[in-house]
Amino acid sequence: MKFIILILTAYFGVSCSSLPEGVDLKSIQNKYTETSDLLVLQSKNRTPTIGFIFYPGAFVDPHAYLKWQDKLIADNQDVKIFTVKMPANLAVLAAEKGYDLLNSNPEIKVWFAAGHSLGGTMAAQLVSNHVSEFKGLVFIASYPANNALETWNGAVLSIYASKDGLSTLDDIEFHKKDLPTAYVLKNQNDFILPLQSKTNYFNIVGGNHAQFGNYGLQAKDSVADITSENQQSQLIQVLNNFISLL
Amino acid sequence: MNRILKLSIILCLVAFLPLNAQDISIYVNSNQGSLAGKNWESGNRGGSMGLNFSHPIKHSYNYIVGSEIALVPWGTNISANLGVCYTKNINTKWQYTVSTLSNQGVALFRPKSLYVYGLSGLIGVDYKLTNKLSLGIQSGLKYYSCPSYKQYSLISSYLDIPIQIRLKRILNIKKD
Repeated sequence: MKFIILILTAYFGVSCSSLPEGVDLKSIQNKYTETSDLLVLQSKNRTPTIGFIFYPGAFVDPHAYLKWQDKLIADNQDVKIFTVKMPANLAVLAAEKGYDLLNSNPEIKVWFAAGHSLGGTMAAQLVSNHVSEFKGLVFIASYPANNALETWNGAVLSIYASKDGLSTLDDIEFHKKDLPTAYVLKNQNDFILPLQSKTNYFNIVGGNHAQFGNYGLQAKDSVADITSENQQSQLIQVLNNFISLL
Repeated sequence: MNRILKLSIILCLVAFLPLNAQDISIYVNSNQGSLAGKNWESGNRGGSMGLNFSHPIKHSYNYIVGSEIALVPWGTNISANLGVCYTKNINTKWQYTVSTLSNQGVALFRPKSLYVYGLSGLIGVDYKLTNKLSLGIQSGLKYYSCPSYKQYSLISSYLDIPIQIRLKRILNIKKD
């Protein structure tokens, strides 16, 4: 298996990953640790009970998401974010890599999986392989590869952007059939309980694909009408509301 | 990726080395265990695959030149190998090797790739399958670092334990 991964890496891996832009590790407010497999963010003051496994987008350095993740934890100290480092920065090569975290973090009572772009598709695969162990799934500019979660009784949130040139509005619309019942949020607070067996969709008007992280411009993406700060602020707000209601 | 650097490495290898080489080997490395920053981490820590040409210098010593693509925690590295290898026959079928290699290359990033370097020491054995073909296994220590990655990550260097499997083809019979 490792040899197959190596061969795939040789084929896909000769692609450049996007480096973070404007992410300063010294400015992180929360407790931040790193291993060769993970970036871990959590509150300095409280023991978190909600685990958030995050898969980065394809060929994006995982540190590119630290800026908004740090702000999310500042707003919700119960959350611990595990950003998984992927082989060649490609989640498709190791979709199950986040699963070990469930056994190695007994203090976490509720588990979510989330991902940006291809990372979201692979997070959906992780959840579909272990449906009873995850309470929620968050797609960020992403959608599932199949309909394995169509009848899942967990809570799904899909955050997308109107000026996304990669995961387009048409793509998001087309894949609604693969997920639990769709409900389109009118604003960040418009959730209707219960969240289970439902997919909540939130459109960030004017946002694009790359501004869900901090890694500069991405090929084939559209130019955003809003700043990355604005886009990420909306992302944090809707994520926090979703997490707190679950 | 710095295309000029990439092209230069490939051109050097393709144009010069095979003409001069005594043998050519392809290898696959799996890194089992790694010192990442100050912490020891067990289990598979990525790997690499590469191609080396070697040529005798004197007695049992050979120089090695080649290239490698490596799967590392920050993504992918492409590097050139340069090193020395000591080879000694145990009997007609088996020989042992001790080698040290330096790697110079780039970590593939955009908007620009970052310089990486490495140093490894390996010891192993080769088993002669035919007169010109042998299969070997090597292990040792490999250190690699990407100094500029320090501004993005808490860990910018690793010390790994590679397990290497290689297939070696003799191109010219050694005369020394």
